[in-house]
Amino acid sequence: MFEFLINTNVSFILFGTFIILLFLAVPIAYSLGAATLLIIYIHDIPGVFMPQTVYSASDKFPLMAVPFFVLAGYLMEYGGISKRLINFASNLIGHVTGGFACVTILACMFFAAMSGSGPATVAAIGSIMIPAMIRNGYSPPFAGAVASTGGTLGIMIPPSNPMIIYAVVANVSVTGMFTAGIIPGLLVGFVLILSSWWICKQKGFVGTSKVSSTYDVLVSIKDARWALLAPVVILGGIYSGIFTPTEASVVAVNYALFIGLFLYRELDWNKIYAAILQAVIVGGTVTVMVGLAGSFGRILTQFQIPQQLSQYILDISLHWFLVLMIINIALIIIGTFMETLATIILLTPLLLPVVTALGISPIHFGILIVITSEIGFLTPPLGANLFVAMPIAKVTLEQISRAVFYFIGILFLMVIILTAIPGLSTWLPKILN
Amino acid sequence: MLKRLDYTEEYLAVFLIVVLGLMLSSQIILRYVFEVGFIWIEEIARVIFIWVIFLGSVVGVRRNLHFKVTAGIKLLPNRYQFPAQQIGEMILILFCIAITWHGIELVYSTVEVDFRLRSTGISMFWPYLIMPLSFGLQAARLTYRLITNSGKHE
Repeated sequence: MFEFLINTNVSFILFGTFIILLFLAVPIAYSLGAATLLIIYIHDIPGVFMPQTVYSASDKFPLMAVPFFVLAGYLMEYGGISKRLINFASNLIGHVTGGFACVTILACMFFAAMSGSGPATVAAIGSIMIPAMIRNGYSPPFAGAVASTGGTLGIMIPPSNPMIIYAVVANVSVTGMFTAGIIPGLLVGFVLILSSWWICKQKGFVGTSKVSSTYDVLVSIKDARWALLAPVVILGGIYSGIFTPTEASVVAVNYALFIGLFLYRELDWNKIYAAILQAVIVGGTVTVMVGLAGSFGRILTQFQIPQQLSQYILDISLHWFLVLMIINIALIIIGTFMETLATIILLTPLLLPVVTALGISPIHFGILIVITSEIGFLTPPLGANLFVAMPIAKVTLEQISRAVFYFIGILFLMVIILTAIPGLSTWLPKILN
Repeated sequence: MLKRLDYTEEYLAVFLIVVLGLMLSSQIILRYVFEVGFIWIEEIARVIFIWVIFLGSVVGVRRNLHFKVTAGIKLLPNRYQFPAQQIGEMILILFCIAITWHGIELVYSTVEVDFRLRSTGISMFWPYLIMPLSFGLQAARLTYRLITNSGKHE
């Protein structure tokens, strides 16, 4: 019954079906799956191909790190770690102009070094810092925008769930991606601190009234020592090769449970159950996407669609920087309405052959995908971080979008810099290898 | 009681991820403290992981948390939005039923041709079983929602 379709272009049917289904609000993963299934039926490929490829694409050891890092992040948030980190950050730089904004970003950087998710970082730090900023005369939309932007560091500073997913899909090492993320992560973090300082100076937003003495700083370090030790254990363990990223995620969970239950004593069973349930849901929604995109990717390769695309782009023979910038802008546009991990899972198999054909390192491309995803967290209609910050700051999507516009500009500048200088991403993994 | 039953897959998934966490933790302790490693732990952990995430995706369906793009449907005139969404849901159900069917074929194939995990010798029957189970439950959840929702809209 499908004979007339066989001669029609496979990619046309594949992407056409996918886009129609997306339009009908079918979940992204299932739209991919259904488009794949249609091709399978048309070309008389046995149906067991689907569940089999879905299974083998999700049966990856590094993927296990995703739900466990999510779990660790929630346990740290519920367990009182964010409070101590903020206290420490505010003793360090709270007194400068715009101190509250700078503290928010710095605390997000610390939290990002133990959590792998953007919105979770906004929730952990923003729920304390946004009200604090507003109390001290910051405009609510700006306060929300600072926390949303700081939260994007959650995925740029390792550990990072998008990096894990990218590594699995692109078949590169997760540890390699985590190493590559260090310099760009710190760079983006410090640039964001500097720019919020500058914006606050223009607007006359203040810092804490007193300069902390060395004694205060030392006390807050002592108070936050278990929280500050977490990145040392998690990242140190991964970089020194003691743990695989998956093991590190489990260590992070145990560590968070231990301090939350026995040292800070702020965890209870209800909070733990809620955190586990979140991990299950993130695992279930993200990995089913990896699985179904796995079948989709197999069909793409079988019909040589990525090869055709990269040949096409090579034929236009643009400069690699130009190609990367076009891809970046496309990723940013797609990121405005599509979820971050979905974008990565969907586009990596299609774009990676293109960029590697241009001689670009998969690690460099991975970092670019992550930083464009950061912008995706901040752009309506689907800006996950904004949605977390909005109810805390009690502002509308319109107000916060306008306030976050500066920061999007700064992040876009960082996209250009990270694209133009591949060494920022590739140098560290190279010398550490 | 029936309400509790409604959460079966959620409880099972939470239980299994706790087991998974304990297995991986004990693997780390065994390796670094007692300097012994067991390949079978990793093999079973991977099977449990697949069960956790595919039960998790049933939870995602029930709570309507799977990532989707809702901007497209909002472009339609108001009165077409609901029917368009229902059509999408129906296609989704058909897809889940198809995967359930092919999943059953896959599980059945392990009965016909012996196919086992390498170090534990567990038949692939068990890992593959989650495929039809998960997509079957998703289809059931979605059908239930479709029926109750269309009633509400009338």
